[in-house]
Amino acid sequence: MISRRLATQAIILLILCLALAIVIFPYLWTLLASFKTEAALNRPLDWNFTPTLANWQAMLHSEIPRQVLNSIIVGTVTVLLSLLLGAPAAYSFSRFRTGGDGARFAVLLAQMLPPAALIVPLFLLMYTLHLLDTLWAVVASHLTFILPLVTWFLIGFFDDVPPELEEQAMVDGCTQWQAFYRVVLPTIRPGLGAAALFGFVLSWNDLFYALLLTGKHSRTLPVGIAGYWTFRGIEMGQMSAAIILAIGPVIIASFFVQRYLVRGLGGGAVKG
Amino acid sequence: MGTVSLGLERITKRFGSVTAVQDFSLKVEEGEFVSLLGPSGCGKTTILRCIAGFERPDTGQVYLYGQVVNDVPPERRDVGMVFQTYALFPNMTVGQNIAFPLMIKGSPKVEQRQRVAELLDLVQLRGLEERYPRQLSGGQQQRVALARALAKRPKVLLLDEPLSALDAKIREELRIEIRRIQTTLGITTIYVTHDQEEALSISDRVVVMNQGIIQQVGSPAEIYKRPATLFVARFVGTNNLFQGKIGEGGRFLWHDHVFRVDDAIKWPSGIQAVLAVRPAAMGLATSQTDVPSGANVMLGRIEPLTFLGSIVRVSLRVQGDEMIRVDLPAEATAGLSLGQQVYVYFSPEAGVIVREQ
Repeated sequence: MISRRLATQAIILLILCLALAIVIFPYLWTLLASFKTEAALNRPLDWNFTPTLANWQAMLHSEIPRQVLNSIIVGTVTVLLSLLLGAPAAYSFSRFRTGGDGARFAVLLAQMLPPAALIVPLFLLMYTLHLLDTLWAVVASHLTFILPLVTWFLIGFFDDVPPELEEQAMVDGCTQWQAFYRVVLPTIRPGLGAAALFGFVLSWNDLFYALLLTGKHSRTLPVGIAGYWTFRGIEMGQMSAAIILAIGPVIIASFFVQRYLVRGLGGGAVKG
Repeated sequence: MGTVSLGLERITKRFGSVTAVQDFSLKVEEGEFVSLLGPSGCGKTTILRCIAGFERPDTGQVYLYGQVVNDVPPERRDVGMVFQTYALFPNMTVGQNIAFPLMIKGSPKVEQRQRVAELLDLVQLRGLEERYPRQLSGGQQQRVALARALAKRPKVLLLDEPLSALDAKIREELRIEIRRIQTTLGITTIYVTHDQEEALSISDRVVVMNQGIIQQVGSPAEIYKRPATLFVARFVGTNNLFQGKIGEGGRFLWHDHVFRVDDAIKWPSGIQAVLAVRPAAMGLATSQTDVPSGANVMLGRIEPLTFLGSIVRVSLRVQGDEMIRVDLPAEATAGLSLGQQVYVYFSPEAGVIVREQ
């Protein structure tokens, strides 16, 4: 009986280790590749090599740092605009059932539009407005999917705030708007933070819109990383270094955000 | 009659097909403590919310010091409110919570600090201003909520079942506290509760409601001793209810009994009515010679006794299959046993005739 239980636990542990290895392996390989010479990269599964910083040095002296800055600017502006517009929208959906019960699901549908459906009108719009090859074009394109997601995310948090808090604020002299920003918003600070991080990560990772709407001056980091894939071949060492630079913040942010992600993504559905 | 600080005139409020409040009218004098008492869903919280401005009556008017306030939003009504859940702002300290109405009003910081200190003294929570609500007990949270409601010196104080989340002992202490504070400040207060002991012990007047309709308005003594309707007789305290008919000359006919009831004289004979007699107003005797002269008597068989502390509630099966209860001091029940046949009696002035509804 005991040995059967031990055998079951051992099998489960083995499967979990295997799954972990499968998940971790690409990151580990990329990290190691960033410290390999070109010659060592030709032996991809060779773990015995002399590490070098040459790839990191070349990467940091390329356009990549500027592209990192572009990604940070785009992410920050997108998130700020998403919160500015999304928070009142989410509050409206939660408190006043704006648009009926189906409206909160319609918000999510907007986020599910395939990028390929939007890129042509977006491109033409940015061209007309002379915004191609500017960061504003990328921000506008990112808002098409991040704003609905942030709104959806926040609806669950607003649902959790008891209506009595706002009513108390109103009896204490606040208008509805004052009750919203003085009492309700501070109460959902963790949710706002999680939505901001979540939105930033999505913006940070976008390649599709950035590839098609940016040019030499406005490229973001994912586009810069894709640029290592040239006609001459893939500059794997520098690309790996750039990838590690790109995913580092995402992994760190995920640790902070994960607890709120489930609540935010699920709350809008349950409370609907 | 004093100044009428709050008036509700023929208020009706519906939610879809449900009528929560129907034709509710009430005048409250300045400084009066009025409780709205009734079971859950009777409309008492709806009335409170109409006064506060969170609900707009479908018909009728709400007056505050003679001014119609139906169209006035909550933030301009000059009322203070304590919710059932206290609604303390979790991201603010006790001091910040209490100062919040003053901060919104734009009071200088010095004035805010002074007022907060004054209120903390009033509710006996000095020294806790830097704590957060989650660090307080239920009773302390309730006091903070009360202090906050009083901060801006409102004209009317509204309390929506503020003690319902607390245990019995704390409830008893705090309701006396609330009444003390209200009396000290002389503020008009509307108190919503489903706890009759609470309502009767601290109110100047009690409004008993059921299904959106006022059943009776009166002092606690009136409500308890002279229930106006069958609902009030059943809801407030415990009553033995005898369904029968009014007879001639102060008599009440119940099965083959003819009771002499002083209250029956006021009622036209021949009508169906209910006689309500409190268990404490009834007595037991083991022989007919022990029954006081002039009392109404019936035979009863003792069912299980219920120990309630200083008194024992004796359940008895009387005429037909009806059950009544008699409350006796514990020492008076020593000789009684299950199944014993006894004489149950009450005096003519003990009973009250109520309308059937």
